Amino acid sequence: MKTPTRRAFLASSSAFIALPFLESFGYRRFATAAAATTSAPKRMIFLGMGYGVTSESWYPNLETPGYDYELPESLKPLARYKQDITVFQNLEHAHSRDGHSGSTFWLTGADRYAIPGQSFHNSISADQVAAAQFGNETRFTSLHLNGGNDNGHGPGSISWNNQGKPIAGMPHPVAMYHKLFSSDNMPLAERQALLADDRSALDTVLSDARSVTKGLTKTDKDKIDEYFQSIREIEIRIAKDEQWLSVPKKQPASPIKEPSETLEGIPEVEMAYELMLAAMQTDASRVFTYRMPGDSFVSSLGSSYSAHNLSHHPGSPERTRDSILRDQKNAELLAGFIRKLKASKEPDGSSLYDNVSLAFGSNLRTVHSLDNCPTLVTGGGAGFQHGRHLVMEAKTPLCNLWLSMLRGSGVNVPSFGDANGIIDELFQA
Amino acid sequence: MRLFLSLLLFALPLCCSVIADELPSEQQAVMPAKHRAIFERYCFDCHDSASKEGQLDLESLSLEISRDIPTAEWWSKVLAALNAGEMPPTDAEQITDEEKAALLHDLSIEMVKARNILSDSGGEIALRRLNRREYQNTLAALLGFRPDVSNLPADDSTGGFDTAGASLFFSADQFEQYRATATTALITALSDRKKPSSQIHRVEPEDTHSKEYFDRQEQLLDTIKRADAFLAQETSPPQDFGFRDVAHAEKQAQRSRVHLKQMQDYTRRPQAKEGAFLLRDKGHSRPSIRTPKVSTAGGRYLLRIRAGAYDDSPQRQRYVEYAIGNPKDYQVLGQVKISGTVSKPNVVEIPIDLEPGRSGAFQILWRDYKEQASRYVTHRIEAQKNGIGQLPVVWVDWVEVEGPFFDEWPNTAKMDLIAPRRSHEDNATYARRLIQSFATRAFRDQTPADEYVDKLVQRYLQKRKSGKGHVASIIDAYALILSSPSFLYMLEHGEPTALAADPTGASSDDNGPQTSSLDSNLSRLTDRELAVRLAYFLWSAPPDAELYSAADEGTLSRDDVLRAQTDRLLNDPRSDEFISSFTHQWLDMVRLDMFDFDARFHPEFDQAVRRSARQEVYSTIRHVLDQRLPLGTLLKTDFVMVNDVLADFYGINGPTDLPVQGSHFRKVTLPPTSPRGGLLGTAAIHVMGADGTRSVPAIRGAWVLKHLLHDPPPPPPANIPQLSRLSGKPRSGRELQTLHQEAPQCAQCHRKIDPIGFGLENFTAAGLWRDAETVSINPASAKKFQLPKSKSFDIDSSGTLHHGESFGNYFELRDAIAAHEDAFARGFAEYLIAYALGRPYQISDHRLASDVTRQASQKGNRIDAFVHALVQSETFQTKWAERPRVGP
Repeated sequence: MKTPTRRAFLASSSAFIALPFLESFGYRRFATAAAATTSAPKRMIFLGMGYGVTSESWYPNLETPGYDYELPESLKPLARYKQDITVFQNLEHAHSRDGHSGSTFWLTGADRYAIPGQSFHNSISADQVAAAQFGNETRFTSLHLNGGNDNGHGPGSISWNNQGKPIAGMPHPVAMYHKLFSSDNMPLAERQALLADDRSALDTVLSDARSVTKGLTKTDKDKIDEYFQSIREIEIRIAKDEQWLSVPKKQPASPIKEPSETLEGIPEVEMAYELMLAAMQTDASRVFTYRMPGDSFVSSLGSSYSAHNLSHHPGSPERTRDSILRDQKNAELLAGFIRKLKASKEPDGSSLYDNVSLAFGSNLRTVHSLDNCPTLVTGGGAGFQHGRHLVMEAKTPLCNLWLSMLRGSGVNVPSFGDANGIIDELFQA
Repeated sequence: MRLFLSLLLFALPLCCSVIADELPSEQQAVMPAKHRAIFERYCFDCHDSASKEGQLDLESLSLEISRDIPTAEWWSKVLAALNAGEMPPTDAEQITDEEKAALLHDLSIEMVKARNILSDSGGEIALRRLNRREYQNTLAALLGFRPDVSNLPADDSTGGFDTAGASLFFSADQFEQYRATATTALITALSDRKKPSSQIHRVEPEDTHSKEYFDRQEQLLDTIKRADAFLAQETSPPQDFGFRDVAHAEKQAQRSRVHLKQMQDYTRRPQAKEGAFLLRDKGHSRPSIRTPKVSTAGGRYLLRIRAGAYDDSPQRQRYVEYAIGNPKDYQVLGQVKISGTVSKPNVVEIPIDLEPGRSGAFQILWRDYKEQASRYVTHRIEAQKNGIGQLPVVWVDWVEVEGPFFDEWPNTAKMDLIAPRRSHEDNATYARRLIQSFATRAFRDQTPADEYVDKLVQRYLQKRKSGKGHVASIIDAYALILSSPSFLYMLEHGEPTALAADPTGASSDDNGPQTSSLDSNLSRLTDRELAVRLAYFLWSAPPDAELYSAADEGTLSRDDVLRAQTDRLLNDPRSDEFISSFTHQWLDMVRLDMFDFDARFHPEFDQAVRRSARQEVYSTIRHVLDQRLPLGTLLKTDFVMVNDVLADFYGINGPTDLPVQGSHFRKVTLPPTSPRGGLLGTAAIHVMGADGTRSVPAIRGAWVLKHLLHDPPPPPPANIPQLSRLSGKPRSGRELQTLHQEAPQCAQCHRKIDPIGFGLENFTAAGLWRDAETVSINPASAKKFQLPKSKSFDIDSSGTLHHGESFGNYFELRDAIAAHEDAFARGFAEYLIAYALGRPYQISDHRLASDVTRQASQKGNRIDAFVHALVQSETFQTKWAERPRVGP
């Protein structure tokens, strides 16, 4: 089956010809290698669930590594996609210490005490490494959704920039909806003026920053330097906003209704998946992270326990039951997401599923345990061979997986976090 | 290196662990040579200089752990491998438990010491950004009201104190959050609204609140009727009756019948038509009686409630809570006990001050459990007893709200923020004057640079030109000022000359560390900088006019003036911020809110108790400070600070045995037999040492070692399984905890920790006294809404402190701990230093801590004496500095 050529696609979508960002459709590659078929873009999704899973029912039997394993109780709803997922054992971050932080270091593997005298330190997260490469071609370099409080996720964010500073997530799917699809009725000139005004604001505070640095000690200057870096980062954002200013936001083929602000828990997660899907269909962004809701999620399941108390389920039959229900609901929603990813076609005939790498998990296993981090991956974007229960050697760095995802998706970084290699099995049947 | 540092710096508050002064052992962390024999016997097969398996050569590895980072890193790996039981390998000869415990004991203690030695910064104090509390207080000082700052990151979750400059980072998102928060606050501050007139609204809840119960009863009757009609016939489909199928109809009917009983019990009461009962709906929801919306201008309101409670109801349930917000999302402001009865109600009046910008309505709720599970389960347990469920307790005749009242209008600092235009001023001159003046105050009395002011004025003019009004344009400029580094960071440049002697030449007869000359890498703070450091230490807010003028007169650094100002700041109510913020972080009180409580096991414990328990600790420390009592009062004393909620909870009466009335905290003298009095008698400390169901002796013991005895245990190894995995057979807490000591890597610390926890076992998870512990038998087979069968164990609270003192019960344990007031004082001093200086306590602070402790002990260990000694110290008044490279 011959997929339609890139040129045909561009020609048929006349609206896009005017785009200043033809790169976003692989134009450059197309232009330089005319004969080659450009493939659909690679994408990455990280779903962080905060407080971990029900250990006793989430992990497959350790004695059954490989293809021939039985999906455990918590993952049963994923049965239809067993061939499309990989469940890991024994991945962990060597430096993790925070028993209430499921997300803070999940994508970074950083050591919070790495800097003497500083009680908190973090480093760039895997999604931002990908975004640095994928993000240039889309309106939004990356998109971050924050479905709850810090509870179970830990301080800061799930995503950390190259300075190790937290990237704020959008507080609710409704904010993501507006960011992605709300059309701005303001005339172009006014929007340009607003951006210019933002630039002038930055220029103003920078002049204060420059004048105070005089006479400060080296340590103090380093501290003020964080301020300079932050302002520079906003300048970059503004520059990008300016480039996209005249490009109308693309609407998904099947439009999404504005979500209600009262969505909480399960419907909130469903809507988040819906919006990520639409964002991929319109190529608004290629990198997504989600700090999934905790308390509201279990509450919408009908459980009367908080997510923290559910994580302390060993010994309590009621909490254990609710904890398993929570796992199963997560698995069910994920199965729904996979189904839609598979059904959504790219112009080259492949599906969104074929080009995405999706990781679902947490830095926390059960209670406050930080070993054997629950980790499930799906999607064909990194070229992983799925369908297996991969029992790794004890204490395999979780960063090995992040590095494998990055390299497999064409982000050729030499290393990531404390990775000591890639997971070869993922690339071999 | 990273691996090492992670262990090195784990749990920074622990770095206050080393007590002795200036001993050589202080500067070195060394493994005792006696353990060499263990390595030779069990490890050298693989890890001697010849084999070096895994690169590890134990034969030549220095015993001085703190020698350098690579050495420490190796030792940290050794510790981890032994803790995890990975080494020696299972097929090799195993280290005996006794040897292993002794080795791990020394190694873990020396690792902590090495960490402290290797992470010492030599005393440098890093530049601090205002944390969220300080940002809010600083805005309050400038704008005349406390704005909402909940959109900013909290700054308290990164470990250590929230004043630690090195950990207070900054990000691009934060800049935008600061700007947005400041803009909103300024819009409120500069609002040109008219003064709202005071009004009285009375709510008769029979029209609103009770009506919902009557309506609900009708709905339930209707559902039952439809279900019965549907189930009695077979011709029409369920949809005609409003059901999906037979099962749905049956379930709905059954549920409705259950709830109907409660509704009928409500509506049959004659008072339901004259007022309203505050009662859970559907077993768990918490309906509120609400007033009309308040004005967003803030101001003082008087909330009056005419209510009564049934005579036979428990004291705990005779309270209402009042909140501001909407029925689904509100903030509880307090609780008030209803002393009237249903037949003879009376009126309670509550004054409430609201900040401008606050919106919503007052919500009146029954005092109830925060945990939905607890509300539901107690309802069901009641239903099994009386066939109905929770019965109403509090009846409300009416609710009246009067206000807002204002002492002054406008009730913000609007007049100071926008001085009127002078007759000759054009836009540019006027804007410059306003911006210059506001920036100077916002920058804590530092003049802003001309270029910066120029840019702000240009922006202002630009806004005006584009059609914006004066106020909107000035808000833009002010919001940028409140997002600029000079505002966000506490900049300290120090005196221009390095060796600044006391400029006034005044000397003090105090024998404190007097500074005639300074170390060459220290520079003295200017008086203004000192004023700022002092104000943020004791108020978490900028200096007031009086403190600034002391600084401007150049007298603040004089010992007597500084002492007088310190006293003034401590006596000012603004120092409540110091008491609560310092105490909360010092005593790790975040744990107080961490666990839901199960009302099946702790029916007396609810949110009102939890709030009051926190306040009890703060009030006690406030009292000890204000009354100039010794710090040791916190270890043992003959009084408690309680309100009505806690007095009911503890079962304590006031003077002449009358009940304690009112929600304010007051001193109540205790009988000598009372277990209360001092931190160990507070509910808060015991709740923190529990998991919401059971007490956890190890957590209580470790807390006492860390906070009271100043002897923190080393951090626990990661990934310890939860004890409840041992469930299956009911065991006493003491037995369960003793199982911890089976493995040698656990035993070495728990031998020291657990006995203290056992001595506190007379306190339940909620902090109530017990003589026996009730443990559920096999809760797995119990029905959800019943109390599982249980077994009772007599409490054995005897034990031996690792110092050697043995105790037969809690009271003897408390005496033994109270005898260590010196250790407690030393720990307090170290935490105080870390909080005040904005950096973790370090080994190089030992001398300062000794000075502070010594001077305080000469003043009877009064809290103010610790503060004075610290404020008077050279460290507090100087900045560690390189010589400035740039001249002007």
